[in-house]
Amino acid sequence: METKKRVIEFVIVALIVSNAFFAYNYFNSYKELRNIKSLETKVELNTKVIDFTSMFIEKVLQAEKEVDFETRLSLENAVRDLKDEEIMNEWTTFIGSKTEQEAQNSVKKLLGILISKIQI
Amino acid sequence: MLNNQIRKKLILLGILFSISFLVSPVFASETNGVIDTTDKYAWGENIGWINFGCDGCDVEITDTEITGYAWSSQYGWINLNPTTSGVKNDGTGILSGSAWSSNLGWIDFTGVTINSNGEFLGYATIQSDNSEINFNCAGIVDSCAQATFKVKTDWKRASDRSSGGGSSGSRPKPPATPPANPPADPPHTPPFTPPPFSNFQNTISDIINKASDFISYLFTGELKTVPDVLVSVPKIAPLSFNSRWNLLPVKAINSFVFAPLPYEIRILANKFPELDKTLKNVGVERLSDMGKLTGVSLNIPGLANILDRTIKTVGMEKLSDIEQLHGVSISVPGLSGIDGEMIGSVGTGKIALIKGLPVANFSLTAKKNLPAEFVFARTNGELVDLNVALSVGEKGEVTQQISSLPGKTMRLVVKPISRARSVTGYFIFKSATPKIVKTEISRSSLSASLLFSMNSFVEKIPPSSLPLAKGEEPKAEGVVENKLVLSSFEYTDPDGDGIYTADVVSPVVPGEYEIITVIDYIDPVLGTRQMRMITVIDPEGYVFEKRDGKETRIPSAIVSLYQLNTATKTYELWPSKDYQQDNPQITDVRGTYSFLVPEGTYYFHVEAPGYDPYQGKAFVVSEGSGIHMNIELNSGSKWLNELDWKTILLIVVFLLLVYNSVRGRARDRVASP
Repeated sequence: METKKRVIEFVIVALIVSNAFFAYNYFNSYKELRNIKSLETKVELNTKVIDFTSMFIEKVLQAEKEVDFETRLSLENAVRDLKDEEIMNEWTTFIGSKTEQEAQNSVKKLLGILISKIQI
Repeated sequence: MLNNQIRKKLILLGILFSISFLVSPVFASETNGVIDTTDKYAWGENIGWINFGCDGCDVEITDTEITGYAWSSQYGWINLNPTTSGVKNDGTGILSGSAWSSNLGWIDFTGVTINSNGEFLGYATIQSDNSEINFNCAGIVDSCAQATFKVKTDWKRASDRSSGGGSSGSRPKPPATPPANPPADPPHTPPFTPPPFSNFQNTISDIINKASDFISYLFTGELKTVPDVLVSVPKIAPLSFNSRWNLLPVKAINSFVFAPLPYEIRILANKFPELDKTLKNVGVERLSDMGKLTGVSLNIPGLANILDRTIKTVGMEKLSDIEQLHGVSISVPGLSGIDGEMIGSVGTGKIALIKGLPVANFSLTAKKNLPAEFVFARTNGELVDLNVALSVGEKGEVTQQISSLPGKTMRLVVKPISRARSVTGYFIFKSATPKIVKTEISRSSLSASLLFSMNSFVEKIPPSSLPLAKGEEPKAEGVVENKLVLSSFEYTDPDGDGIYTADVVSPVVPGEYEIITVIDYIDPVLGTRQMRMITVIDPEGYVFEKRDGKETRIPSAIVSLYQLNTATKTYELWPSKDYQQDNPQITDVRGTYSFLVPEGTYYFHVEAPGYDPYQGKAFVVSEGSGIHMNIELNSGSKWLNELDWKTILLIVVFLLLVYNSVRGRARDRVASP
């Protein structure tokens, strides 16, 4: 009887200890996972910003003729996909430029914003 | 009886139902109007025909608003009542608010009215390009001669509604002539118009979607992938995309890209043709090329190496033979070039005087061709040239820099470009910790920051801005440099050859100093000019041992320096006497030593009583650099030092325990039968 009681007590203690161990492991893993996901999000955003920037430079700044409809659509999709209001506003300003000076200023600002959005 | 009553009620109900059925269409056509089947076209000056009465348009005019869609054959659907705005009717036919087109943006209906005949009048404005949409050819400017069009509805203002009859009955017939170039029929599928970006996240559906995503995340642990945002863009490219403009400011770019090298570099390149040649060879010709100099080792022909070859050519390898060169014109780049042949290499931008040849013994040609307004530094009786290295400062300013050891006598040499009244030098303290700027400048910021670099090696200065030594009064009113002047000294030219020299003792305290050389020319046009040179005083090396994590200096250690003899490929004790120094050196109470050596490969051998002999690894020294390595010695019985009394006590207790245990077991064994 006494032995049985001791075995049960031992099992309970073992379960508590293992529970604590696994809980600790779980929270550690969860924390790690959260960090990785945050890192992944950052990398994903960086990639999107870089992709849009390179597309903007290649298709717009280096364009030798009028930018075609398909390209403009891709650019519009890419800029909206960034989901960044500051970039979007500057992009809208650029599209709505009425003079060359306005367009140049917008390009300068847009490139500056894009570079600043890349997180290291 | 009952049947009769039921029959009467049914008849009454039927009559009432019939009356309501007859009246209702009349009522609807007055308060809720639709677009006329003929007069349904508006004309946009930039977008062409717009159909307000197409299949699927479902335009409905009420006393408060206009709902439905209009169709542009070029730009697609126009939503007349988007969620965030919409075309409003004030009930008297005066319209306001905006319609939304994914391809055109907002269309402002302010200025459009509906008259008593149900005809739309006035112009709506497309906000993206400020172009107008005309609703009636008989508007402010009558254009009905070109094309007859208008938009008409059977909606009537409340004041114009008839009390009993339907308005549809008094509607005039649509014009027989259809509008010119009627637009194509729109698709029958209802259009999807995405709302503007700024309002996108505030919709209820978005909140529901997010909540749903969160719940699914709780159960599955995976987030739903967000579908790509699909948007439409105008078919006509905005001005920004039409390639007529230079989107980048060409003038600013040109002024940056084609800007010449900084003034300091150009001046030096003029003074030292080989530097100019090297810069051109490596493609550093413009300001924008300066980034190439970062971290790149340039092979610039060195004066000292040239001299070595010249000396070897004439068979005078020994320093004692150099005196024979007096009066002989030798080929040295930057000084004179007989055949223009250049060889050898030193570090980036390093310029040195002829090694071991005193300035006084220079040939007349050499003296004549000595680069003017450039301060050279030599030490140890002019036997060792201190490297004058070019470095780029934090703001892109180019400076000359030398490094020396504390308490060394340096001979500074400068040649004015014309007769000078006086040549004065100032030793100025800059900072206790020397700044190593070369490695801190990133490649990207280097070129840009150079744009703002305005300092120069040689600058004309007003006399009032000269630094003042202690107790010296300013010569005239004006701005005086607020710097800590340690000492001032005069350069002299005893032999009248136009080359001024000054012997100065480097400060005892390690740190960063600046030597400003001011030449006061007799020629008033030249005025007063100054040259700046950063002088880094390296700390001396010392010999130490580590005890309890702390360094203890070791006095009376014998420090020997061995130099690699490239001819025999063996290490030999460095001939210090040739350079007015001692080798070996015995460290003082601070355990310090110092060697100022020419370029070469060296190693240290250190001995001290009670310590293991130390033999260091070989290291390379660039010309004119001081050696300030800190050498750690280990005492011969080092492991004993690690044992403190506590450890020893612990070991004794442990041994006693072991002894007791063994003895106890032995006793048990004896006791047991």
